[in-house]
Amino acid sequence: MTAQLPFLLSSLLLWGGTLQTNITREDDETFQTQDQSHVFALCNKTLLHQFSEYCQFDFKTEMHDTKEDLWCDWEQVIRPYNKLTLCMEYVTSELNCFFPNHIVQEAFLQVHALFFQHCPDQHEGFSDAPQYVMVTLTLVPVCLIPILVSLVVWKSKVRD
Amino acid sequence: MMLLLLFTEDCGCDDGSPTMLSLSEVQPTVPVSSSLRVSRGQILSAQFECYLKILNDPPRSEGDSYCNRTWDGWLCWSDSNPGTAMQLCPEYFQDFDPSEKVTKVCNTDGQWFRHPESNRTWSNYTQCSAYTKDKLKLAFSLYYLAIVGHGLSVVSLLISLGIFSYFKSLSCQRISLHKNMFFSLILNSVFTVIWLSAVVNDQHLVASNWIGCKVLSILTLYAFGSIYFWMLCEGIYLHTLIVVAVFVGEQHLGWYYVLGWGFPLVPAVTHAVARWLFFDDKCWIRSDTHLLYIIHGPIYAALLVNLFFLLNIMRVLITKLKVTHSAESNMYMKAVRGTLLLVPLLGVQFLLVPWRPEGRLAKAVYEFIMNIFSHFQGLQVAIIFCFCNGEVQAALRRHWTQYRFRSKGPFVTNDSHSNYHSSVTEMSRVIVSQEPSLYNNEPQKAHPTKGPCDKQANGQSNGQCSFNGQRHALKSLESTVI
Repeated sequence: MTAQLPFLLSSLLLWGGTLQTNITREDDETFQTQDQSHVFALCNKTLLHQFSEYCQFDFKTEMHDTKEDLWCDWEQVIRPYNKLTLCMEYVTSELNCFFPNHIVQEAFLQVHALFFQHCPDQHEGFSDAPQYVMVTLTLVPVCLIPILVSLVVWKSKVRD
Repeated sequence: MMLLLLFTEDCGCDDGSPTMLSLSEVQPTVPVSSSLRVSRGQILSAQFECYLKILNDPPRSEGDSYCNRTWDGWLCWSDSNPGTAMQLCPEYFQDFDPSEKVTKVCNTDGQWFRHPESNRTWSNYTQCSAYTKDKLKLAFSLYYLAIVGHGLSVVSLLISLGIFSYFKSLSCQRISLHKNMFFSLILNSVFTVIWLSAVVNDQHLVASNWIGCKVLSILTLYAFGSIYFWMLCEGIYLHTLIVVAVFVGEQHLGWYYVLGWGFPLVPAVTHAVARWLFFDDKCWIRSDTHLLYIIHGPIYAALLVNLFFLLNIMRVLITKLKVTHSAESNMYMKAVRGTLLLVPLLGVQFLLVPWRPEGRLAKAVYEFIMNIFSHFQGLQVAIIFCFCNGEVQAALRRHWTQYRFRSKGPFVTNDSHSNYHSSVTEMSRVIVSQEPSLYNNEPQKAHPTKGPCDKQANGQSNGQCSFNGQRHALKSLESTVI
């Protein structure tokens, strides 16, 4: 397996990882389906751990080149973050492991703890507006209606 | 490239840094089709959030066995008790239905379920795309139905506006209220069609969160609201005309404009501000927020107030009809009936909202009914207020006869037309002195002039019908026979 790895990585270099058909990618719609013809019985966890460090190394270098106050700016981070994810996906698949798994998760958590721990949760899912806001904001225009209606009735029948 | 390859082969794999440096130089940019790029971005963003959440959420205090929080590649799962965890499908892919559910089983031993075939930790996403084909078919037919509905609405409303503007004989206050309402319906249709075809249909535009689509969303909601407030104006107008005792020849329409065009700005702007502060989703496309009540609440209120006004008018007219059978009460009744009919027609979609059924077929039927009520509104209104309006029909018939005569020979002149006009204006001049007679309830059964009476029913001006029948009959004969 160890001997195989340089070749694997070089294939990533050659085709940019996009031509490999059996790489698990998160944006591959079939990646959660069971009937994919992957043979993932022989996951080499030690190697995966090592190679996940390689992926992280590159990411860390790039992040350290970025100003620290931009670390929480998703627009700035998405490109290196995507690279990191692609690298992880590639390495995981080539080592016959399922993606994601706990080693990958550990690696990502390390990265997050290092760079993003204190980022505000800006991508949070939408929680609906608080009930009282909705009720107040609905009732204000509703209460205006009777006033405006009586104004219309009153004003429209006055004839100059 | 060969050099790089050799380089990586040389360096071995224990010291990864040189490998990775060269790796990073050639690392692929995000791939191929652009729709893939959208989903890639969405997934990465969700993943980023998820790992942050895993990191920052307080640790679970209960000691029982539970499954650990995890990112499964698409969705984030928090610590779960044994059993089935569930959440809505993500929207990463075109054929994923966000109303279906993803399940992930937590075994009793506190391990996430592994698929027996592959021994892989597995979440069940099969439902997300299982019914998508059928649902897509339904969605497309509903989409085209909506477009057709709005198209027909716009065409029929434009024709109606054309008729109302061309036949000067029709012009009167109630018709100008009609015109405004038609205009708000046209605006609503145009905005909705643009919204449906340009925004809802275009994943990339939504993803880009372009400011224009939010503006369009505000405009659509504004136009939608203004329909109902113009409806309310019609109701108030008739109410003032028929029930409110202080009788005037013509009403001031200024405040009607404030109610019809001005007021709907209030909920539209409030909604926009609230949306911006509390639920600022991309293009404000999502409808699963309570903030929409800011738009719908006032509409409910407008419908209710309108219903009250119209029922009150009905009550007054029915009492009057019982006593006198007066012709003008009959005419007013017609006018009120049209407006009253519109309340359930335009309001039914709101009443149906809480009755959304569960079954697949029932849901489809429900969607179709809702669609017809909400997207064919313009057509319904045009039919009731214009095409079924006796006065409009009479005017059209007259025009047609005139046109035929004119094309057949030179012996018919424009006189008839101008004659009619003069009769109408003359009539309007007489009204004021005649107006209280509606409340005198003189029996007018024998009154032969149905055409011009219809005009009163349309609110041309109150009490017209009541003046002494003869001249009236003569004029109308003049105008209809020719």
